[in-house]
Amino acid sequence: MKQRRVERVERRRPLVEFNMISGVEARPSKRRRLGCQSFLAPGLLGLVVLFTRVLGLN
Amino acid sequence: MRSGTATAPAGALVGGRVRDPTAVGIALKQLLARNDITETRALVAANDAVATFRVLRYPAAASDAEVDSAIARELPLDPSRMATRWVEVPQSHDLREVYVASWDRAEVKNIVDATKLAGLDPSVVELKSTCVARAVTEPSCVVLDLSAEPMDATLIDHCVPQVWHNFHADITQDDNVAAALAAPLRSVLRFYKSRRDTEYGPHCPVLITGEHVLPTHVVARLSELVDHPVQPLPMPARVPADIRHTTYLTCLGLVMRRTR
Repeated sequence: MKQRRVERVERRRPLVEFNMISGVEARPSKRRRLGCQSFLAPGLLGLVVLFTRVLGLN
Repeated sequence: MRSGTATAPAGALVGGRVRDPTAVGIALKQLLARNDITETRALVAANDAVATFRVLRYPAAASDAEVDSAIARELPLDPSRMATRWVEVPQSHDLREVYVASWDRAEVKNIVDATKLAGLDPSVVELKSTCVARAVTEPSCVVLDLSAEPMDATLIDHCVPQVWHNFHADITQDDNVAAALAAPLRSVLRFYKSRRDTEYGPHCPVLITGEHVLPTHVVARLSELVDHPVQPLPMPARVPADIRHTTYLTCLGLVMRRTR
């Protein structure tokens, strides 16, 4: 039996993304598409925890 | 997930700025080794002390060139020392809202150098304030980080960081804590509310985070003094015991980026 498709409400937030080393975002981003975050890469998360701590973000 | 913390060698990090990239790089490398992390791509959150940022609004019809020249007038900084870039704040239909940041090239280079010395490839260096604004559940609030050295307050409105301020306050004397914290908070709130195009309501909370838990009566007094609700920053899920909450929240904000 075919199931009804669940209507998803995408909660878009006006999130700013900036990069101080990349030239990619040197120009204004034109209405970047926003949506739910894809997933949290566990390894990456662990890594950034390390960096923020060591870089003095106490 | 693997996570770990380490203290940078004395003098290598001062006020959120990397003073000795080699020492920080070595500390990072040792930290990675201790935690068996072999990932080499790095997203780095930098202390807001290395930059200054603004959120500026222009008519919807303003061109990129007009925004460029308006920003140059707004932030007349030495381009040989400071890099300035802007991005559009999404979902501003009636006007053109941009987030502009200027950062000290040498400060960011020190961060990048330290990361590379640890054998990593930094793909992103972003300010802590934008990371926290992305991850915190309240769309409009002030995040007061008592564990930062110096302490800092970030006013976020509609999920976009608007004001960042760092300060020193003595919170060891119980009878003075509320007043010591209220002064910088009030100046942040007053500065933002003085902008004619803002509607920062009295219900927007001040979210406090830090290892030092403030007594209930201090929190109540602080709330009276700043005329906003004051409450602890809701703890992110699954925070390891040895990781500070704002650090973890900052990292969540980094991995929530859609662009890497």
